[in-house]
Amino acid sequence: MFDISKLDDLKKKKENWDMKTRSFMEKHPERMKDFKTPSGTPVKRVYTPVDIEDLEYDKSIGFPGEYPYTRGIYPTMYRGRLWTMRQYAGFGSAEETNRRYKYLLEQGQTGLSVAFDLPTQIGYDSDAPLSVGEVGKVGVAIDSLRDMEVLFGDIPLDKVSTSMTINSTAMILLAMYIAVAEKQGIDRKVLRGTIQNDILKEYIARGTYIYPPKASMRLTTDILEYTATNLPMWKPISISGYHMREAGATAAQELAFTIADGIEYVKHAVSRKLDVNILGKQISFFFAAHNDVFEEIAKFRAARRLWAKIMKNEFNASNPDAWKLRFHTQTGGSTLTAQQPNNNIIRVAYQALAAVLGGTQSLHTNSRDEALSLPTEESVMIALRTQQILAYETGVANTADPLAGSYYVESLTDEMEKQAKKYIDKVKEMGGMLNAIEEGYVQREIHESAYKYQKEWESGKRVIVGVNKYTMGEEKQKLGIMRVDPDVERKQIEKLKKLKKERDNGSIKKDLDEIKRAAETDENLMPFVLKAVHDYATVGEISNALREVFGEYREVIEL
Amino acid sequence: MDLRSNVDTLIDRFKDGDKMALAKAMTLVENGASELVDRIKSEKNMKSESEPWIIGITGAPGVGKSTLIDKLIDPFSTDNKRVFVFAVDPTSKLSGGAILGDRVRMQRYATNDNVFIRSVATRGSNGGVSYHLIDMIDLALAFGYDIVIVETVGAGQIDLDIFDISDTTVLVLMPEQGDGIQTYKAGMTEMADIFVINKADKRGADKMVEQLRVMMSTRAVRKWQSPILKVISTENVGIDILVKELKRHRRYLLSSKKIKDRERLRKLMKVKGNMLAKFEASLSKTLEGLSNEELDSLNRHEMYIRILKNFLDGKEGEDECQ
Amino acid sequence: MKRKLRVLIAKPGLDGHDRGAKVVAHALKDAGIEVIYTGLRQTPLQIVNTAIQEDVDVIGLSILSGAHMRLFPEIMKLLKEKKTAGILVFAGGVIPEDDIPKLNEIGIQHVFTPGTPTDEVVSFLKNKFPDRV
Repeated sequence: MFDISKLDDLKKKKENWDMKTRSFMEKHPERMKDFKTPSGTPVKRVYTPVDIEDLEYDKSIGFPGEYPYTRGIYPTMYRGRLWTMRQYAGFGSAEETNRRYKYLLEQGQTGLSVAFDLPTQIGYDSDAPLSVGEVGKVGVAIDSLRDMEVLFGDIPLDKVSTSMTINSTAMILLAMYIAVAEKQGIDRKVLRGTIQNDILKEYIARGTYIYPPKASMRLTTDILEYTATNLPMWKPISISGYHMREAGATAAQELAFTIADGIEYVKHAVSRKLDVNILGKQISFFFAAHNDVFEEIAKFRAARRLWAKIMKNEFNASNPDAWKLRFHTQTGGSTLTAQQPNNNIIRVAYQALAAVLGGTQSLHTNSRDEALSLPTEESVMIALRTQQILAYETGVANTADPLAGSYYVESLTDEMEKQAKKYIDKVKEMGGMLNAIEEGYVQREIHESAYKYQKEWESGKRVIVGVNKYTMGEEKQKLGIMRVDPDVERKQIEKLKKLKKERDNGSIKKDLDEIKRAAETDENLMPFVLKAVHDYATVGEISNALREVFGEYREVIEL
Repeated sequence: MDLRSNVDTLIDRFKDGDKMALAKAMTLVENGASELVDRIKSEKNMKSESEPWIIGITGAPGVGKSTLIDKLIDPFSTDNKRVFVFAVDPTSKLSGGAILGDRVRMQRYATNDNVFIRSVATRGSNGGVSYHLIDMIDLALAFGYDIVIVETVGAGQIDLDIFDISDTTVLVLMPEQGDGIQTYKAGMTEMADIFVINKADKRGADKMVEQLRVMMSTRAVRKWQSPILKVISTENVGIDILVKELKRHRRYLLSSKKIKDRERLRKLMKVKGNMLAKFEASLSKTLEGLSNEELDSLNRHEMYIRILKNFLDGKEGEDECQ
Repeated sequence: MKRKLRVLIAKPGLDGHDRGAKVVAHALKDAGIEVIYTGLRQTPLQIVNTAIQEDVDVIGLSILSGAHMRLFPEIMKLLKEKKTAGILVFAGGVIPEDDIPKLNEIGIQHVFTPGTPTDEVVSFLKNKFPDRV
């Protein structure tokens, strides 16, 4: 990228500087012997053009909105439109969550994000034995279309974009969303939003799987196929590194395994004859933003470049729109501390900065109290304000990819890409992500990183303010705590009982039989699920029908 | 009251069919109280209607042994058999600790009265199983379990204990497994009674069958020709055939009286395991007790004498467990 | 030879966050303990039966879903009913401070909150079983 003769000159000057610095350090030693990013990349004292001499501007960096999209997927980036501020929320009953949504929309939030409770995520109704104690706890409880109607009551679905964190039961919840829209008289073609629908990372890190991997991949692909023609504005999959990161992956592993998951999905879809050019536009990604600002930024930039190359060169997508990696970011839940919870506001702010400098399309900022419980309304507000300050006061949104050309950031971007490539190649060698998961390889790699991280902060090698340095004795949980109404479970079960009396149970039985029949064939299951949902079949009923056909998965333990 | 310190009550409750007593007896025996097995066997009326059946399931990590066992339990327990599973995992040489996670895949049986699962760490033993495993198996049989399944990691270097313990040994393989069957000790493939190629939907399954056939053709013709079965245990494919073959092998053992050979082997293994456990414990204690002067002054022969003397004097180090 | 300490690390509830459970299991293994791990989504009855079959000295419960106030009492009740005298129970995960006294009352000896070093869990067990770890 630079003039060779000038580089040679620079190298000599750098040697000279190194020598002077060494003698300087004899009197003024550095704070640590080694400086490293959390992914283990050594960080040099200083970076110069020499560190990025191999980079070619147009090939490796390029312009915003152009291949390989290192600098972002839009030519104007946030000068055109700011990122979507999207706070994940949902708890207790559909009524309560509906109220929180309206509040957030009034506060200037621009997208909705639904958190479901665990029974809904794992395909159990609120009255199932395994649901005891879980109903409405980590998200809203949805048993049937009736709950969904309440959840989105008075919210015009053609005006908002809705992100639903749902995976194993994604098909059912998407069907319910479509059904609600139809009842509002809205054409499904204009519906905007995302379902997570990323089952692979459930086996790796998040744990809300139901069926064995192959059956799950079929459901995922059915959804991709259905939305491609029926919901053109919808993002039917959000390939997520976030949860792997939460489980302890390094930034490099997060990047690598997410992209490797992406490859697996595209492979499956292509084998079902889906058009890679449409598929590429449907896919979105979801990453975490942690504390090491530059490594995070490098991760995002490398992710775009890697994915663009893969879509273009490996899957031969011809439409540039299919090369673009669009992503949502959430600040790192596992970086929040129970000790001195207000410190979390600061952490979240830096992480949000990294996400924005990395070119995210949407962002969730965590609330300071999430290490302790569900966030209170006040904490959610601070988190949202953090984004608004970033957007309107700091000026970081005024130019595209402001850190491009930084010798350090470019060199680190390159390094992240290289590290990720190594893992991706290893997964390929194992026959792809499904095999790597079944053999426990990915889980083991992540656990090892988690354990290493744990030992590092326990030994003080890694500083966590308020936890192993600058501690203040007993200081936990001074904030108010948000609790879910303990009555939610009872009320939800009552509603369910009532529903089962009122609906036409004869057609439910037929619907479920049809689902089972279709599950045995290659037919796309989506229309059958839509029909059942319309008739008010429950999440548990539909999931159980599929359990009968597909069986259930048990995890691989690799420690 | 801790049952483990009151052996009489423990035995009474064991005889009454109390599973907690069985579990605690297992612990005592695992820690060296082999006499307890003898006592229980002599006191409990051992009128077993059927001959016990010990099935070994072995194979490298990741081939899907636990899932296979999970699927095997069903047909056996619907036969109204009581099944005991020992899930053996290696002890960390460094710390002496272990993570025993095999039962994760069988946890649906945790509430099934006819199934008992016990995780066992290999502890001091150098082999693939713990020294006291056969004692523990005896306890399970004495308690009334009909079928005992032992799961061990049988990767390349591990020795062949499992073949001496089991009546029927299943070697589980999977396609695309490194260098394939070459990584196994020759003896392993030599001794397996049944080969299972699990995850048979993966590429290379047929090639593996072929490799095994070639290998088998070089071994001496014998009455029992070890079948090679393709299985996808996660999808319950091939399990029925495996069960049939297991039963066929058992009939073969019973009719050919081979079962007696297996029993003899097991008894020998048990004595060997018990002795090694005691000897190793005593040896360690003697070695630890040597002063530096003694280390320098005693010659090799004197050292041996000291070790053996201590062993015979009963300084076993393996004091009964509190 | 001392009898090895056996600890059951169990995950009641439906949440899939097993990072903490696995890290603790690993640390206990490194401290020379035999750890039996149940995997996710265990019912109280599964946990108690497993503890009995494995004859463990300790049960460590890890939960992050918020269902602890329903599930832990059920586990403690079952342990009592089945007369498993002497099994020590501790817990960890996202458990609000206010709940801890109530959990202690029903017999859960200690609740480790987020950010606890694994050393602390190991020394807790060393203290309780001085000649076993």
